[in-house]
Amino acid sequence: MTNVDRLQQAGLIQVHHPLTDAEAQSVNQLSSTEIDALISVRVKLGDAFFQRKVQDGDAHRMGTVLL
Amino acid sequence: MTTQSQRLRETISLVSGHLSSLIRQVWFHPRLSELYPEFLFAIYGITASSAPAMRAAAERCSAITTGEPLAAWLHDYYLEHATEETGHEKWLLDDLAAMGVQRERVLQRLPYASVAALVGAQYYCMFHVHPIAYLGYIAVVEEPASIEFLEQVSRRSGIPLSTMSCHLMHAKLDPDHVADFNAALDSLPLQQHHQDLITVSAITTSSLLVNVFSDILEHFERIENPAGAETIFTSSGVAIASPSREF
Ligand SMILES: [Fe+2]
Repeated sequence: MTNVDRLQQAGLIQVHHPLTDAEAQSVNQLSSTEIDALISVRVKLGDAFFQRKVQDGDAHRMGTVLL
Repeated sequence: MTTQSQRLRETISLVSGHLSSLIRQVWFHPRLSELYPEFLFAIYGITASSAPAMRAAAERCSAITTGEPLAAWLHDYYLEHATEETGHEKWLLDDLAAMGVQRERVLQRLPYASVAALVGAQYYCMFHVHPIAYLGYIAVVEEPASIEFLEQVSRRSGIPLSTMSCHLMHAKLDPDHVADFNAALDSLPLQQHHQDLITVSAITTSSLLVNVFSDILEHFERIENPAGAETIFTSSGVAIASPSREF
């Protein structure tokens, strides 16, 4: 079973919002510990899932300045 | 070949969709000028913890006695970074004061439970797992906004740039922060367990930040309800917190 399969089984990847090839490649290089962490926080994966809200590279320009 | 930093950044971007959408909801909120003090208050709770947490992480590095090859490097990195971050929370107090929220009121208000959970998770890791975890936290929380973006926010919302000094100072001081952090990470001979912990810490941080930004938005919605609004900071003057406790 690949990492992508594990995440799909855990419900983190939406059938109608599949991962891009690049995202799937990122996922498949993660260790089983890292995959366990993803599953435990139960965050839906992939840019596509929220793409309609985060537009035009805003994510990068907004930053996350918290330190 | 994928570098350690590329691998970490790819994982963060994979999990940060929800967080980015909430950060965007804050910055593009139709009543941002009123919401802004509450946003700064939440950030204040996080920023005020940074230098002390880095010093604690450095101390934990000193306490490692198992021949950890990264301990000395991490110790110096955290101490140097703690010095850089010291006092940054004062910019937030100044910005809030410029909007009419007095320093005492900020200090008297309890931080969000979600902020305590976010920072508390890092203390758990540094004391009970390994202080390298804090690198995963830094990777997520320390990415300055661009100056151009902040100027647009000011024009669109009417928030004076003079009350955005925390964001502006970071944009000016740390424009290369992400690149510098990536280079530092790539210089380290990370073993699998280090890499796992940094990634797990970053994933946890992104997930807990979702709660912080949800709280900012939800707290602000409460200002319409006077019974639930007495502790919320806004610039409209309807719900500036009254001092409720002293330490
Ligand atoms: Fe800072």
